[in-house]
Amino acid sequence: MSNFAEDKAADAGNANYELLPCGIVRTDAKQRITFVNGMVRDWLDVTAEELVGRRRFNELLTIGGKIFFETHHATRLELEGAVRELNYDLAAKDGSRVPVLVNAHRLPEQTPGYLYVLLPFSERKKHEAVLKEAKLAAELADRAKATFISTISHEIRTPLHAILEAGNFLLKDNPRDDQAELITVLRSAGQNLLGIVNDILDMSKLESGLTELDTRAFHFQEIIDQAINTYTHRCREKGVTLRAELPETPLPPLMGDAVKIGQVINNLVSNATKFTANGEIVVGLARQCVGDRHTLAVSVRDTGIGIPEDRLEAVFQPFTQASAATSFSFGGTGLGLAIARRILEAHAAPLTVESEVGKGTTFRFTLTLPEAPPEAVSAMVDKQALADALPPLNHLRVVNIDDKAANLLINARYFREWKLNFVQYNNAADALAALGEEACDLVLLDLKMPEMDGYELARRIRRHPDPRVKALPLIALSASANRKVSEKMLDAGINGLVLKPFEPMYLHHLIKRYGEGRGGSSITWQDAAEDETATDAVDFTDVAEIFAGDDPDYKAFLEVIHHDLLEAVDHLGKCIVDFNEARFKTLKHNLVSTTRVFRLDGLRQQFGEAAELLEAGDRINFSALLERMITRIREVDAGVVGKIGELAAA
Amino acid sequence: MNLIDDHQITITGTGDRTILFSHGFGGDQSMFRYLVEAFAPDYRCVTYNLAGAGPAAPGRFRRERYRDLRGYAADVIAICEELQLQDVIHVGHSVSAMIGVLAANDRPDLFSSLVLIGPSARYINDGDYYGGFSAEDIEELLEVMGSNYLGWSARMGPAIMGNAERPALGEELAGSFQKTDPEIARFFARVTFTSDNRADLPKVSVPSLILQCDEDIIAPEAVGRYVHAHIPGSRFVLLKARGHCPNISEPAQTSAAIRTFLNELSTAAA
Repeated sequence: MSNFAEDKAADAGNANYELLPCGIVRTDAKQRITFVNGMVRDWLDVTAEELVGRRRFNELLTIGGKIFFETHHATRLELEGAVRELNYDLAAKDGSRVPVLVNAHRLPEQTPGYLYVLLPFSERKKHEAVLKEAKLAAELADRAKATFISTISHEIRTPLHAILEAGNFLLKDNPRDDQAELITVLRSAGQNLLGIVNDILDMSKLESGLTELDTRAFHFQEIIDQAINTYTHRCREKGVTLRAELPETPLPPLMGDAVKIGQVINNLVSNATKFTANGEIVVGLARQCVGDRHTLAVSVRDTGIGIPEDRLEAVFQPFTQASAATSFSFGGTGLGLAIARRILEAHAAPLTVESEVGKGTTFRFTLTLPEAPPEAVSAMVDKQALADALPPLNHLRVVNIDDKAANLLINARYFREWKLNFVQYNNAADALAALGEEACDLVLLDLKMPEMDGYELARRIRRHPDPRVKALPLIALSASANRKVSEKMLDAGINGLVLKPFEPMYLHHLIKRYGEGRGGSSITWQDAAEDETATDAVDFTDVAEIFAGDDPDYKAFLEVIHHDLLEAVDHLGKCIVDFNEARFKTLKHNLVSTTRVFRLDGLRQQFGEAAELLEAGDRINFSALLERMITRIREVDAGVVGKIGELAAA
Repeated sequence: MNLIDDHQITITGTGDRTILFSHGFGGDQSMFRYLVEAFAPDYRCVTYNLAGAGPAAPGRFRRERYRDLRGYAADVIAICEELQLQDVIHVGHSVSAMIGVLAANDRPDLFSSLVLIGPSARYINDGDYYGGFSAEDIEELLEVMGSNYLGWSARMGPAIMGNAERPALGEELAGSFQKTDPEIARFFARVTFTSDNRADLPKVSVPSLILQCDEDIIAPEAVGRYVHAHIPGSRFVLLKARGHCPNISEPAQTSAAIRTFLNELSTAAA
């Protein structure tokens, strides 16, 4: 083709471009504009002469767009020949912006250059913004609902607990027979209410997707045994047999969330117990194994009242029972099955039901769980084995002083495990008086006590007239560890420090060493900086004290905390990218009490630092710090979840 | 996971001497495709993806480590050590030119020379210093990146049309682009465009070559000249190349300039 013919063809093409309802820009190989159609000229309010031969494509864009084009778009276009749907603003002469969606193509070799097709984007952009906002609003509303429910549940639980406690006291107080009956009603109604609140909390967590599976090695059969043990007594009272049909060969340890699966089986057995007046309830387990994956078919079969066919699906709906009359005569919220189904959904296992009215009901589900790898099993076994392997300390005798009963109780548990002889006092004066009378090898003392504190006690022991007492090894148990405290301890004549919450093995080691007189005059400090596990572990001292001896409440409280922490991780994750000051401040405020109660001083400090960075506009360091905080909160959460697990297993 | 997986390190060619290529903001190791083709016959070419720039395992990117360019420079050093590289020729494009400077200042023993393609010691104007951008411009870039969130994480990949001359390239790129985390990309943009390495230039002790494009709005000529003026003994070559990525737009010119530089160095040494 001659040049003339080429030009003619190009002109014809350009004429066609003028008709298109979208913007067209053509450039040469160096991105210099060779053609713009009417649409672009209108948008930008320019003439062709102002652009053609004078401007490059990227000069039509805003500055941010230019940088993005040069760093992302231009190279792709050169390498790939085309890129589509990039979102740019054109900068018009008057400073206004025209949002467009850009599709770019490299032109064939004969006519080197690029063709840009610009689609008007304002409308779509508006719709997208509205959609985004609606989605955000919906998410926020849902989260608000979940938070509301968990807060309310927690708020209800506290007074409820007081009511139950009051009932317990009244009952112990030799009530008249007519009063006793009312007190029984009070207590059982209170217990029911507590159960309902717990269920609602579980449900709201499951619905909001806040529940995460905590997968570890566990023994499936133990879960069934536990459920059977829990309900055997109640069944026996009703004259119902409760038994399990288990495979003959025991299952190897599997990987799964033992607490959640246990909850499912518990709910199913509880449900069966409720609706079976005579006959039997059988928990069945059949298994199949392919490679290291075990498929477990679990069934809970009862000979109870049954469910009419048209209500079979409804029983899984929250707050729904087979009939209104059911809840009247059997109680319950109707949440148990909904919770069970939701938990199983998280395991990708449907919960199904077969039933015949008057004959009975069978619930089934099938779980496929992997066999626990050796390292997970050893993690499960080792902890116990290690604790068991600690040599007995029955040749030693310690005196333990702490003003807080909860601490004394925890210590006593370990002492007993180690077969250590011990006496405990809740005040320094009594202990000091007793030391003169009783022989002992070691003193374990709390530092912060009212009246006479640990330092004073130590000083008095060191001044004791009895040389035996004077020379006793003194080990302090303390939650705070800083240099100042250490010096003060040194002055008071304390030999060693164990940080609370203590690592049992470490305490065992110190008691053995000093108790056997091998400590000499040396001093052992468990340095906060050196002992990562001690400082990084979550400090449950205060909360354990608050809920001392009240495990269900303690567990419920920790669940709320767990929920809050997950939410915090979520919010922090958002703050990392949107730098939303309001959100960050709210979060910081909401977590204040949590950081206090768990003594998360480091985290509290980080919140302060992050707030300052955000204020100063240092977004890089702000997001780096937030990322660290997220890691820390996840650690704390893991600690909390672990504790919940412990409480659930206890 | 190890470094090789984390950075998708690729080694091409079997020469005695090693060129380590570090890509710039907005790209990945495919940006060196043409240069690797040019140098693989007689050099060992090592390319990799900067932290966060490829399909690394989620959660591996630590903002703490990468909050300034030193974290990336530490990666360069770690890669050299892991692969036991010596006398490394570091070719850094865009922001990675400065990453190379930091790495070579920290461990001059590892590097024999630096090639800086489109370098900028600081992107934001500061008093008399001209970087080409204002802080607001950078915020605007982040906005554009945000609105292209879907554009380049989900859509850009599949939309890549395949290239008549290099059909396999499309898929390779699509793969890496789909997996890049847009939020990490924005974080990196912030780190890149707020970096200030002016004080590091005089400390460079290895022979350096600056390759400047004559039509580059990201690193305009004045910016490249500043780098040249402040790196002792550095050489400066002005390429006739549009844009910020001569390694893609003008690979022949670029590789020729690098070869001349390397040949001169070895002649001088001999």
